[in-house]
Amino acid sequence: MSVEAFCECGHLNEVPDTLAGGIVNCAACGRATQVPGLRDHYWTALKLAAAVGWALVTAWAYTAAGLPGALIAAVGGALALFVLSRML
Amino acid sequence: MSFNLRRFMIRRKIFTVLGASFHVYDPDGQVVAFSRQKAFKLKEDIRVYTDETKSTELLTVLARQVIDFSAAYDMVDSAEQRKIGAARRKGWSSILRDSWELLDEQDQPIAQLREDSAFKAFLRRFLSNLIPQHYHLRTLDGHDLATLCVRFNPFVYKLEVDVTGDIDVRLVLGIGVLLAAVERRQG
Repeated sequence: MSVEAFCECGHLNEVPDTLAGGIVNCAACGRATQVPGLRDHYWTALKLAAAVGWALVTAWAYTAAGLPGALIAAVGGALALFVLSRML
Repeated sequence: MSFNLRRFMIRRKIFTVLGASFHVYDPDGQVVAFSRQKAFKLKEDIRVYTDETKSTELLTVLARQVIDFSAAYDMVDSAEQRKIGAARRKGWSSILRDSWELLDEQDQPIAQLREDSAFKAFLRRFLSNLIPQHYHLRTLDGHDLATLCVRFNPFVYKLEVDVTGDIDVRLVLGIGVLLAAVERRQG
């Protein structure tokens, strides 16, 4: 199985999936090119789910505890999302 | 600027708030590089700079996967923006004796790094840093390329590197920093 890695020069590199998530030198220009990871879409889905969860919890906190609750939930959620995006 | 020292020492910085930092010293005791392991990263991301100001990046070491038993780390020369090779940890072998493969830019094995002896490796796993780790980097047919020796010091991690064979020194620096960051953490 192979993975496609687009270089900034526009060249499409087809590389073995053992290189997924890693780096390969572009066959056309030689520049180091990032190869998409096989599980990248799972991490993207996880981040989206966390963002949706953040919005829902903030809305729930607003109905349950008013503006202060919503503010606490919003700030806490934003921090959690920031850490998550840094980790992945 | 490219790293081309054949003897150097990697020393872990003791007080680092997040992540880990390492200084690289030449045989005269001058700092010739500074390495920073990013905190809060599931995928290992280690950068090597010319100094602590981090203005000039020499080398980037990036893990391919978040969770990987036989983790592979690509090394990129930051100035040339070219991958110079990779290091792959041999997961099963490393349980009893640390074992790595050094790969060229085409991902083909060119050398292997192993702890000096299986018996000492076994003892180290029970006595921790009382027996410092020694590694030999050899070609696939057994010719010595470099030795990497941890100095006995229970408080500060120091790894002495001596490149004796014909190999890209940047790759040795990369695997040295990886050993300091990854193997040290795994104990």
